[in-house]
Amino acid sequence: MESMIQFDNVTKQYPGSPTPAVNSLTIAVPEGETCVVIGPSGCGKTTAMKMVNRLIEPTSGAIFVGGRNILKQNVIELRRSIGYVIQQIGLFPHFTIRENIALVPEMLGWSQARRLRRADELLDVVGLDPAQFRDRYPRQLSGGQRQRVGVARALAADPPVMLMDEPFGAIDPITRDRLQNEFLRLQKQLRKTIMFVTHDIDEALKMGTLICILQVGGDLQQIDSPKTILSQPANSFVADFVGSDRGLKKLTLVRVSETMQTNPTVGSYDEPTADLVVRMRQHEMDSVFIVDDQHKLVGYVALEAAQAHSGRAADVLSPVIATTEEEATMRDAFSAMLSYGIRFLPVLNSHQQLTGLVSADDAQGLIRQSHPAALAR
Amino acid sequence: MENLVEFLISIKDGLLYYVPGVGRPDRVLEFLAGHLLITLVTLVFAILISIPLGILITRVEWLYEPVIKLTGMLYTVPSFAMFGLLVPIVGIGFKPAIVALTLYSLLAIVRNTAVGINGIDQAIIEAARGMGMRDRAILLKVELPLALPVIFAGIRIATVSTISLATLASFFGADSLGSLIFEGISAGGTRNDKIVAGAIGAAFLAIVFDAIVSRIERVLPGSVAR
Repeated sequence: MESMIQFDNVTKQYPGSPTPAVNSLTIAVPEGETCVVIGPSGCGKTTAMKMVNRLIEPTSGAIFVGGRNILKQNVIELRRSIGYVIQQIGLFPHFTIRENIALVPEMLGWSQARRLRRADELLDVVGLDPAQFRDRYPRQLSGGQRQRVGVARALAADPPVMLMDEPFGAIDPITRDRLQNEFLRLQKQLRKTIMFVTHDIDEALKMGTLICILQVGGDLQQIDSPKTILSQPANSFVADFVGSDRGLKKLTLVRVSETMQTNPTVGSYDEPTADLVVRMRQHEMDSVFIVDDQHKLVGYVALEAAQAHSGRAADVLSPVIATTEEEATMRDAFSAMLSYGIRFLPVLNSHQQLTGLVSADDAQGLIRQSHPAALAR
Repeated sequence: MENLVEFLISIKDGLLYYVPGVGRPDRVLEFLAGHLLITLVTLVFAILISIPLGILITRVEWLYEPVIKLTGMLYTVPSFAMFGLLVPIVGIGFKPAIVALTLYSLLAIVRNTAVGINGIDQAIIEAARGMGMRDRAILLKVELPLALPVIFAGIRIATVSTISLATLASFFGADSLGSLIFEGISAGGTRNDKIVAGAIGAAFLAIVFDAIVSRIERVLPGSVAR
């Protein structure tokens, strides 16, 4: 079997309920894909996911993980071989961060030295400094940091399959965007097979390589790539669920890295303002981003400010109010530009270095492009 | 006013009872030892019965109500009646004291154990299960450590009420600080110093025990979680 996760006619019927929670669901998730399961509340998306690690047992049908029928497998071993991330995170409050991350390795009998090494390695992977965080307790962390630890804990034993139940659902929007971007970056290297549950269609389009849309009662409506879901919704339920602003939604399918202008014109910190004025005129710009000697973004200088002051860039520097990342979607970027009322957004990598620039014009161009397709519905 | 003066004199006499040569500190010590023994044995039994019972009723849901109701009913039986009912069954002396005081302690510890476990954030339990922890490991490494502060609060309540009720045990033939109190009462107002001396001893014991239990509580693993 080539799919990593496979549902064959899986039904879950709770006793006393007139309709099934999941109704003869058949889906296949190939290795390395992220399948986002989405639908209105009561559609059985969480039930479907929890059947994979047997927190819920199916009433009928079979589920295969890595080609093995999970119902014929030892449930404890099965769970230890699947990474599990939940919305409420569920870190153990009486364990340090390191102990939380090393839990599955410990149960698998790894040596202490190997566990400690792995925990530090994973803290690095999720962007937390091991020296600073490993001995802390969960209550000493912010919500976003805790969910990073939640992801690290799920990755601890390097499981091929991950289940993620609204992992970024309880986190503030700005941190959520960042965590999503980081996770996409991570997934590019790790190539896990992921089943990801959400109720947010934008998150689904951003995170998924496959989108699985369920209707209340656990009926599969469509499973396809985000692009196909948007351009060829299988029925009116899917079309309605995806929403009428599909032109805008299509921005979700385009990553910042695909449209950004690389190597943007910049100025440096100690450059004379007169030089900046010349450069801005030459490129018909009304402001220019300023970077330091490591190419980290430190601010911007407006044309008027540079003209009014003869000195160094540092004297007339204004702080940058919004930035984006290469993994972000153009929708994220456009919405940031709209909410801050700006026309350009600098793109930073994980080291805060400026790697490119996206503009509101780029985003509007993309919406216009997709418009005929939306009309063809 | 006169009563107040008399009361203060009794307190003074009670304290003097602890002074060698003036009172009988040796007798206080003897009764204190008996009191201590009753308290310790009761607590050991109460903890050994209540914690497993408390865990059980979080696992077998239909048992929760009847067990809590039964232990609650036991708690409301007047102590003299409880001792009186037990004497024909287990005889007089140490035994009825242990049985009665253990029965009184059940409510606080059983209830707090169950409440402590049920009060744990279900997400933590789900994460534990989802990661492949076995039920026993979840109980020992997650549920009990996290419930311990609440369980210990129950043990503290049980400890204080056991120390106070253990005074009654001497009425049914067990040695405790109550013996001193009853001697004082039977003297018909002439030996109030004994009543006070016994009461002071029991209060002192309660304070010491409470301090010990709270000290233990502080070094428990679950305490870092709060």
